[in-house]
Amino acid sequence: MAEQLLALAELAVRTAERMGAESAEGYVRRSRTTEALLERGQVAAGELREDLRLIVRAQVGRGLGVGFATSTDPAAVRAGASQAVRSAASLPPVGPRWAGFPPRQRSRSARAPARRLRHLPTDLAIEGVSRMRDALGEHEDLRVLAGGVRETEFSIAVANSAGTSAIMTQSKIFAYVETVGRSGTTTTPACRAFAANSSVLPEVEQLAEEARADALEGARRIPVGSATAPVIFGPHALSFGDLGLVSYLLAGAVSAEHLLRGGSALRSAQGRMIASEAITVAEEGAALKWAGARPFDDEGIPTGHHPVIRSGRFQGFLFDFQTACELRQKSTGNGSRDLATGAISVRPHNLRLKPGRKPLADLIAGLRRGYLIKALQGTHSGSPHSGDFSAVCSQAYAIRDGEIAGGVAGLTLTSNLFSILRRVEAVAAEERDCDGTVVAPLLVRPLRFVAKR
Amino acid sequence: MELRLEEVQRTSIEVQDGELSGVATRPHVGLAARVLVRGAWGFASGPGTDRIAGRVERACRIARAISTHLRRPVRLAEVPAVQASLRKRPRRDPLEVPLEEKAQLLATLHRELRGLEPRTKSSTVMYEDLSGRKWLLTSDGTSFRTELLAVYQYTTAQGRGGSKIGAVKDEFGAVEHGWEHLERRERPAEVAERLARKLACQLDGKRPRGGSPPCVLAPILTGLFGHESLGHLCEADLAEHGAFAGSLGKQVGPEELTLIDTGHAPEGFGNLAYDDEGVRTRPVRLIDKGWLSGLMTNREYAAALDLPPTGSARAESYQVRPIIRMRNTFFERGSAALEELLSGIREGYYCVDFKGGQMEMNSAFHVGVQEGYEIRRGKIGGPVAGLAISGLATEALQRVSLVGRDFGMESGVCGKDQEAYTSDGGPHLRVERGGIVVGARQ
Repeated sequence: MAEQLLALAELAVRTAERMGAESAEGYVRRSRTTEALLERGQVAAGELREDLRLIVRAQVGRGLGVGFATSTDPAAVRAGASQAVRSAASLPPVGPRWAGFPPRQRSRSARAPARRLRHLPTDLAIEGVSRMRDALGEHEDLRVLAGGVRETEFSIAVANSAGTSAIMTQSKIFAYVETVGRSGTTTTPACRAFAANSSVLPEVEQLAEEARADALEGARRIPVGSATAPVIFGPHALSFGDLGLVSYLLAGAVSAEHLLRGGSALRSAQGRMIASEAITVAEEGAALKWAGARPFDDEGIPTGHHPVIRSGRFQGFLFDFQTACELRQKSTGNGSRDLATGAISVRPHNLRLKPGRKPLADLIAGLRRGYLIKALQGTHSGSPHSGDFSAVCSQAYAIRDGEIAGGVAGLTLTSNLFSILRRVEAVAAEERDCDGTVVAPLLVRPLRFVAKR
Repeated sequence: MELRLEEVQRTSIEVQDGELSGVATRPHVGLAARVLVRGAWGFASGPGTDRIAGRVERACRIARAISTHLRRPVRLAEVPAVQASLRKRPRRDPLEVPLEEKAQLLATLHRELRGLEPRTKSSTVMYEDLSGRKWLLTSDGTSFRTELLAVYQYTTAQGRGGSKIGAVKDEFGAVEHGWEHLERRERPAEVAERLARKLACQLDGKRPRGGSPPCVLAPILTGLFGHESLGHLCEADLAEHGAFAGSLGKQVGPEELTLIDTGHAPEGFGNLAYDDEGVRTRPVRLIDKGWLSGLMTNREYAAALDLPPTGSARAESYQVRPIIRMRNTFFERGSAALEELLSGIREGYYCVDFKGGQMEMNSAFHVGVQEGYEIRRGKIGGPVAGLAISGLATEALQRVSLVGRDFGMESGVCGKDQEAYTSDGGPHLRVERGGIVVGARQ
């Protein structure tokens, strides 16, 4: 099947060239997502979503055109190529920054990942979500908001006029559950537990137990006021989709795009300490055991291991081909394609924060007073350029004498990502695959929290 | 059983720093089948419109497998079958406007912005339009066809002043107008003027002081407050477990407050006549004179909670199932002038425009303010940078003391699992000390 997609990508390139393109690129992505869902507290729905996108980019003079097809019919592919060439010829030229398509990439190891893929049939997704529901159990203070097990299998093929020819087939499995605790007049925020994996079903019972405990502990509300206190950031405060200190602010700050456009707080930071010695972060794009990793990026350039912060010292930015050319660097294989426009931007595939040695329980036990923050609300209104943000500690717990004492509400943290990274005392041992980032809890020296009281 | 088919052309144009960086016109054609078998949902979607039997068969197979795990079968509220065909009448259908013309107009924005705010380092205009049709066919007898139309623009700008870096955004959209919306109502010069004002605020503003001071919210912020902190918790799927669960018919705010969600608002970006279950949209008074009085529902939640279906089931595209969404959500206007709202505030904040908002089930809201000013002795003062406001809606509502007599709405995209076009708005609101928390750097 993947070979067939590569043939389509190559057909698109050849067709565009025949129609007058000086160079062209064909990209095909086929995906199949199956999902079983918890709704209204029960296993109530299942979904199958299939998708196919063929994107052709063609260069004519300084014009760059894009064409699309949503079918494997060769006639549709030719029509997409024709659309790309016509639009390249008629539109205003792209800016002087445009560097063309990447040179030939022949990383044949990219044809098939080294690991054996385990496909998760719908029945197993249903079984997984059913086990999750059973593990949540019943409790008068517990509400099950949502949950699911989702598996996506996808194949990508990239070809271009320079001879690039890359194909891959991968899968990823994502399990998630959201609960709410209610006790008297107290309602907790959604308590989310999720994990991704590249080939096997995550531990759904463990996720259910985590979400259940978070909701019930959170419903035991402790009143707090403004305070300065040490804090542990849990994995979801660091990475929750595109929101989170690592997945949004750090991922944005180390993107070469931000360096080029509007500046970056890290623009003169190469080799300098920007975090405590406990912090080591690398883009491990090719480590295929993680859900977000992949053998090549959306331009066909091989991914790899690229240090970002080593023992607190900034090592360098992440690049796609375009930004690498503009800054006279080498692409790190971090080109990510917008399937709606065909455009490429810089994005980490698998930004991994190196775990420490102490388990989370030991870090909690070592605090006389402090907070465990499992989710932040509002980091996306912060600035990846400067690292400044202000966020509500939406899912937060008070630590008293080394134990979780109960949930806290209404704390606001206004800070800067790099100030926080400099104050990190320890990284916990437990790392979690969040599909695009792999993170472990961080223990941070006292930060100022503002509350109404 | 229901079938949804879509045939849409979408155009995306991106202009960076005044130079065209991407143009794409793509077909968006596909089909979805959603079935209820033995009380369980099955759904199958994919590109193309030619595999109807296959999609239905897969959806049924999934639903049968799910049904073996059901505890309570899903039921749907009865709704009248609809036979309708709806048209859109833009002056200039975006499909018929040459790409070159679109790109040229959008490219002028950066120059305008640099002229107004020379500290601008970079700007990116992301424009999108869509034009096409969709069909809904159900086993209840509904056969519904509607034309689809939208224009939407999201612009970001970054600036640098000394050591300060500022990043701001602007967005607008329309579903009742075509390209003429950009030519007549939201011209690049006007967008640039708004962006320049917000950028100056970020680059020149002082940092806020933390605490819980009185705040005056301008219509854009009022709308977002209504959307994030109240609207979502009045969506029946979230209301069941949120901070307002069990509060229907109870007082949640002062008598001056009325919050409405409707599918028909002047220039509403969330306007629609029928939802994606074929239910005619109806306005819902979510808060009526301070009392929680209604929830937005789909057919499933209407049946489960014994409420009327409100036509609030919306799907981003054929690829996904419809879920309960807001449409156009706004507070009704009150009677106070802006001077009255500001009067008597010794120290506080005037919050005009936002960059990102988020809600939580416990009614916690968080809004990043990209245009905000100090209030000093009852007057609007200097700009504030990096202001973010938060709180619990259950408490903030009780602290609303004055409702303005003006009114404004703005359009945007809500991201509850799927994207949906919405409008939010209202008058100025004054929230007394203790209602809103302002964060501050240590």
